[in-house]
Amino acid sequence: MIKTLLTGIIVFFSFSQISAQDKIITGKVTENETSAVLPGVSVGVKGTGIGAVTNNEGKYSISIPSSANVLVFSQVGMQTTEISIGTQLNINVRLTQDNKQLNEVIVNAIGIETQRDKFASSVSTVKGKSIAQSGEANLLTGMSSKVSGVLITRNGGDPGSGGYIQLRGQNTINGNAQPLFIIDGMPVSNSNDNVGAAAANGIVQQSRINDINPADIESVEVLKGASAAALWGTRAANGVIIIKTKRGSNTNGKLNITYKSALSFDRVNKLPALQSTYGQGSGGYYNQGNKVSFGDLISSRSGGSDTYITRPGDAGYQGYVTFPNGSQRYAIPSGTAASPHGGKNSTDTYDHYDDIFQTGHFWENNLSLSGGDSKSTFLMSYGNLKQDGIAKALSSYGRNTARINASTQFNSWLRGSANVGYAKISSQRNQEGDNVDGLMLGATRTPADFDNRDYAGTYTSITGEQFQNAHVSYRNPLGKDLGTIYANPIWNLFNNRNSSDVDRITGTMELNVTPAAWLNVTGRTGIDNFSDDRTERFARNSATFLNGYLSKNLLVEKQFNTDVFASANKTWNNQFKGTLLAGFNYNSRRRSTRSDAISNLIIPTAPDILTNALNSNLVAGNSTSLIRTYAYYLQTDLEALDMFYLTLTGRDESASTFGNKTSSSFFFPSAALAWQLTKLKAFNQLGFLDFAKLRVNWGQVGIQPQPYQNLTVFSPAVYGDTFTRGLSSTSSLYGGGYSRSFIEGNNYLKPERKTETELGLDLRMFKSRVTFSATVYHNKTKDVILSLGVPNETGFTVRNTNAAVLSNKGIELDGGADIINQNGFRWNVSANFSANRNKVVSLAGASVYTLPDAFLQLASLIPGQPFGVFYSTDFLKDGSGKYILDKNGFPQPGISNEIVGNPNPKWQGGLGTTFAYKNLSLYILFSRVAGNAVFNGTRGSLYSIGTHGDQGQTATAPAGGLRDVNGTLIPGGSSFQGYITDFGAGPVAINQAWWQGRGSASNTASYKQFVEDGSATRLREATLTYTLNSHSFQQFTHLAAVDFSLTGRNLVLWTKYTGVDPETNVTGAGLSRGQDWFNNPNTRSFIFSLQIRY
Amino acid sequence: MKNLTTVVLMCAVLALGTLNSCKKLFDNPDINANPNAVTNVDLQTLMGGTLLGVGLLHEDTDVRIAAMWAGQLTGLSRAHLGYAQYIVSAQNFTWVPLYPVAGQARLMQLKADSAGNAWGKGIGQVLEALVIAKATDLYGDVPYSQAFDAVRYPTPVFDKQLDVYAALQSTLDNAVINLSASTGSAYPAKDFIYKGDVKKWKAAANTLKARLYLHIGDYAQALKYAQQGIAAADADALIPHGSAIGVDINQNYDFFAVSRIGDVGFDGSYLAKLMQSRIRSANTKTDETALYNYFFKTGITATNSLDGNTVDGAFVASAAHPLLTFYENQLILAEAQARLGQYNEALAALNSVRASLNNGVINGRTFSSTGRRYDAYTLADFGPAGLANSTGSANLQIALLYEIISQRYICFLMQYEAFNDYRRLAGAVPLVQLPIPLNTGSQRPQRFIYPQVEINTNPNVPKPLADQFTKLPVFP
Repeated sequence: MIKTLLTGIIVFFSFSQISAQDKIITGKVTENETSAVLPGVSVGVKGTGIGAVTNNEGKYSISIPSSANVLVFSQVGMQTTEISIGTQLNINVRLTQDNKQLNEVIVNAIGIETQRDKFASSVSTVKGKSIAQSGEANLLTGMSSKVSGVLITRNGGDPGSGGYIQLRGQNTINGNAQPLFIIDGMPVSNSNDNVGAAAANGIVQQSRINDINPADIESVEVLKGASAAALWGTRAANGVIIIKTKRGSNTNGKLNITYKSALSFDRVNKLPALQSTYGQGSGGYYNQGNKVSFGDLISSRSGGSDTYITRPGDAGYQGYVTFPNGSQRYAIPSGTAASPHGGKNSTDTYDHYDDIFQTGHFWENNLSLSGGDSKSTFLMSYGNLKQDGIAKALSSYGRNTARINASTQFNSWLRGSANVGYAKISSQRNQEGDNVDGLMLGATRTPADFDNRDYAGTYTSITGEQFQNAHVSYRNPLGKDLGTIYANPIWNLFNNRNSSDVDRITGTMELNVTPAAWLNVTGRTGIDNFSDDRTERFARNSATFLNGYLSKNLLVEKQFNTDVFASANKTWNNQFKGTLLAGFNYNSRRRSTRSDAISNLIIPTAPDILTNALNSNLVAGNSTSLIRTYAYYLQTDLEALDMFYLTLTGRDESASTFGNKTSSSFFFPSAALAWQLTKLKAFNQLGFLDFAKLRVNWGQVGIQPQPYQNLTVFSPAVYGDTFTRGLSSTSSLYGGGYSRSFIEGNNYLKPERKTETELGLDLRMFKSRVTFSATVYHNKTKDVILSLGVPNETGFTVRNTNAAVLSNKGIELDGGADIINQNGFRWNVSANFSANRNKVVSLAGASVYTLPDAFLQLASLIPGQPFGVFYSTDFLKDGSGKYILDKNGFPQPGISNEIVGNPNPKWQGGLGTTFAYKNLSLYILFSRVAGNAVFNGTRGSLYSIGTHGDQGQTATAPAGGLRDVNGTLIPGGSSFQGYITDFGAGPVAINQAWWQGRGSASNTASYKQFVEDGSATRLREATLTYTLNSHSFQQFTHLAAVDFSLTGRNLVLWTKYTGVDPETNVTGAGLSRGQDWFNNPNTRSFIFSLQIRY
Repeated sequence: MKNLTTVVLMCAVLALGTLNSCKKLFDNPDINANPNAVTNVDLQTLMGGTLLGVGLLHEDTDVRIAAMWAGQLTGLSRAHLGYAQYIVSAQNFTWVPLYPVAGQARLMQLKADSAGNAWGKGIGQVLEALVIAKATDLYGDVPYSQAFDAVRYPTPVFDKQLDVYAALQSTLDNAVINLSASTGSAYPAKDFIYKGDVKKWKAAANTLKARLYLHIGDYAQALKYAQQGIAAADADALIPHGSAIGVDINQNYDFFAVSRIGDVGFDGSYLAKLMQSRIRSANTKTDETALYNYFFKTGITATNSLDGNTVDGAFVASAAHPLLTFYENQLILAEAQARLGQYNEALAALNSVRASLNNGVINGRTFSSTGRRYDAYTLADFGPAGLANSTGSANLQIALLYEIISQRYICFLMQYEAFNDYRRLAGAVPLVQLPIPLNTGSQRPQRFIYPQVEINTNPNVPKPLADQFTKLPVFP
């Protein structure tokens, strides 16, 4: 490192003699990717003080001495480029953007560009390019591990499935704890709704922010601190993410055309292990159609085909099923003590994952046309993504996006621009989770010796009656005309459909008026409207709906936003400058849903028509909500002594969701100071330090209540039960009674208020080859609106109240270094690290609050504990925390809850490195999330079924025998499915009795035994890129360049977690984290892409 | 400069406009009121909703756990396999919708009071008592005296179980008084249990009083109120059911045949065993075959499994489910009289049940006549060698009581009163019990554990937390 620097310095001085000038070179400098002309680029003769600057058209002219042989082109934000002069007199150069975040321009909360070096809050920027190159089809997951302090978790591996994004820990419990997304100054929806029959956890829903085409994104800025976000008031408590879409640039009228095509191949990356040692049955005996896999030892069967009971009248005759290939299956005699295998002879076992998963793929095509002159710029783009998921059928995601961004300077004082994006998304997803039609649930519970591939046929009953389209599954092996209990996952894939069709338009129009050099007035108005039309179709004979089910859900959201603001500049003298900005914001959000569902379909195969059932089997519903806010805001920026930059903001906001017993107006202030230390003379001594900035800031943001929480309401009576589907008064039998809501309204709700203090330091060293940035923060959210559980005997279960206090503190570090940069070879390393500690400070006196989307009541808030700790059961313990063993030597079921895990990561980090040689570059990104607990309910539940990989072992009882949990003595020398363990009172047998009792997550004996460490390190991305843009290539093809790249995404995963990829959550982007219950698996991908630039 | 003036003027107009109109922005029907719900309902509509809640509470998971612990039902898979092994914790239990439904029954009374409607109030009181009786029978000490008043009692105390029993008797006494008023409104169109027949509601209140007296061993009072209780099978309090999943299907059908197929069954249950023992037995006056086939069916969920009859029997989708029945009333009468030594009267009450069963009547439906026989018993049938003396007891009272409690156990199919009997009969004098085996271990389940939500929210939950094997005061 230092050696390289020294070499550089010596080289620099050795050329510093000035020679005679005898040659003039001219040329033009443009930006490499967009062909935008670059004014203000320094052109210098290497080793001399001779220099020139490009004009407004990007042109330069420089006279050089004959001895000169290298020209150096440099500009802030661009990679410095050296060109050998040779005999050329005209040298045109394309400069490439420097991804390092040097003195660059960023966009602040209301969409005004400002210089990063003068900005006091911590802002992380992700370039659109690096999202597009990540190999993720979606924006959210494409940002993973690229910036510090941002935790992104995908909801599942289905195509188009949403993700969860969290900045600096959880700050609220109210509604959705996601950051506010702003596209080109317009807040947009990132809703992630689950409605209809899928509401429980059947379908992974999309995140609406993923509707935006990553290829359209210029940059994403993450405003993590409250002071940066304060201008968004009550919507900014979870942070603000500012997305800027690509614009055209001044190309002197030249048209730029970029076409990019990418092809991805996706495979399942990690699955829970299954056993294939023991067959279907119980107690060591084979039993066809049995629920569980505690049957006979498969390897000790005789082999060959199974013995069927084929003669009507014989004991055990049950009819038969005829499969499409003509083969037939009859009942197989059960095993007995004398013959454990019964009629089961075959030793074949089947891979139940291979049956349902394939290599998924997507093909993405993007075309963009852009250009402009000194007055107007435009960009038009079209993107198409077509993805087939890893599940073999009815799993897809299609995204068509179009965008037009245009702007023009009408005259000296008026500028207008419009950015409009349209997206059409259509997708199909498979059932997952705690759901008998779930893909993984059916696949993993199937015994190893049952072939799921024969999933449908014709059942002929004992009386000879035939039933077509029978659903054949391991619990209904003959396809009898009754419930299949757990669906055959293959039947499911081909019969149950869940689709979603989204049409979305997002756009802004903006007028900038500059009546005087010191005054600028901006008016901006925008919309974000979408409709999501969902259909869920369960075929007849499905496990959940025996007689079929159809639901149509329509979800419509409309957002309208207007900002008008004026900013005035004033320069008092060289030492003092200031800007004052005053604005008004109006925002309106309307949301409505309509849902209709029918069960007991009259014609099972009819199209998706809601008239295909009796009226008594129709359930209809609708809901609507309207939220309006208006606000006045003020921002003052002061610059002093060319080193102090002070920003003060304030927003006075009124929102319509407050009850009438509280004021509807609230004020949110912030203050931020940046101090460029390196402007001090004292720092001149430190030659290696190019730039140092100290940041201090403080701010407040809030969260407004959800609408309609102020009153207690009455609705048509609907009563549920954990294990049945409940009763509804809408039946004509019940005459339409109403019931009082279990939620007590509160007319006094105020906004939640988060106060954050942040301290940061940014450094650039060694000619900006090394950068470092550190931020520490502390925030506290007060008056958190909590659906506080109340004793049910009050007649209510919940009262919404401003009750909780939450706090987060943490540290974020970002660093980068160009380790080698010579002779066309570049090697740089960048890293980020963040750690957040959150704490529930108080719950207004309540001792525990279970989060509304907690699965098995796991995720809870407890004062003094981190957010969302797992609060559930463990085996009975004595005062010293040791398990109290029963007389057989086994721990005993717990009867109440305790803290059994913490799903919050201790820290997370990313480490990226780029090796580049001329036009070839390799980027590698590792990431790690550490210390987060995940509840592996899949393992816990499979234990009671007997199919889990841990259950394929055979143990032999030692002399004297062994007790199992029921106290049954296993005689010495006899073998059993399971293993021997010791809980502290001598060896005991873990066998079927244990797994179907205390050793399972199907009951509450101990959920703690299934809480695992979800820490994971992954090779998140590896991208090899080659750019072909040589002079001869350009001459020959008339193309600017062709880029080839090969990306591997999620290539290697290192984790101790025994289930699917721990980056998963059964309740999606909810508040409860780290819950795995038969979640569909994640993927690893290879992506090939080709980009042609004209 | 001209531009500047224009812009400043425009801004001023715009700013004034917005300032003036801002307040109006919140003047919208979808902001001023909740567009998705009403904030008040009338008494009859609230009554309909409350009745449905009371109905669900009599066929929910609590009732199925009680049935498994009473030996009626067998747990076979997933969560119910754990429940059957008595593996439960605080998080398995909930008071939702139990207490909110009781709160609505209380709200009915407040609304009835303000309208001067005695009948409406009386129905609300019966519903409140039905729900609180379930709470105290399963959980022992529960909140009642301070319940349903969040403002005054945000964390209600837990009343002693026997105090709750006394309070329930008083609530029911008031109900009877109100239902006896000469005028009132009982809303026939919304009352899907009794179609506004206040006499039937009054009888139901008395049957419930009799049940609660029987629980505490006050047989004279039990007798007194049972005599004013439900007097005919067509006055049973039943929740009707239909065919729409998630709307009106019988919740046991839902559980057995739709939502949790094969998770429970009747294989090896004591109920099946008891009924089998009454088929082709020495008791020639009784043939339980038809009722057995009405209750159970073989091979629905798996080969040879004994399942609830969801095809053509007790658990079809449209089968009504009982809250309080004529059979229960008569068997309270029979047991109280038998314990008081009034054997002829006890026998008459028992025979009234048999006579109705002989007509195939159960819970508002009719079962097959094939294999159906319930001839009237005589006292001689309970002699030491009597045909109805299945245990061969030398004591007439014991023999008669054994037959009565057997009949109760059968009639209480999937009612938590079977679990009440399981615990009550272990302490009632003289001691007569069915030999219901334990599912596992050596301890009898005695109660449910207080819900975790209650532990989290109410500091008055009795400590230390009682486990499922701790006896309740009323069933010592």
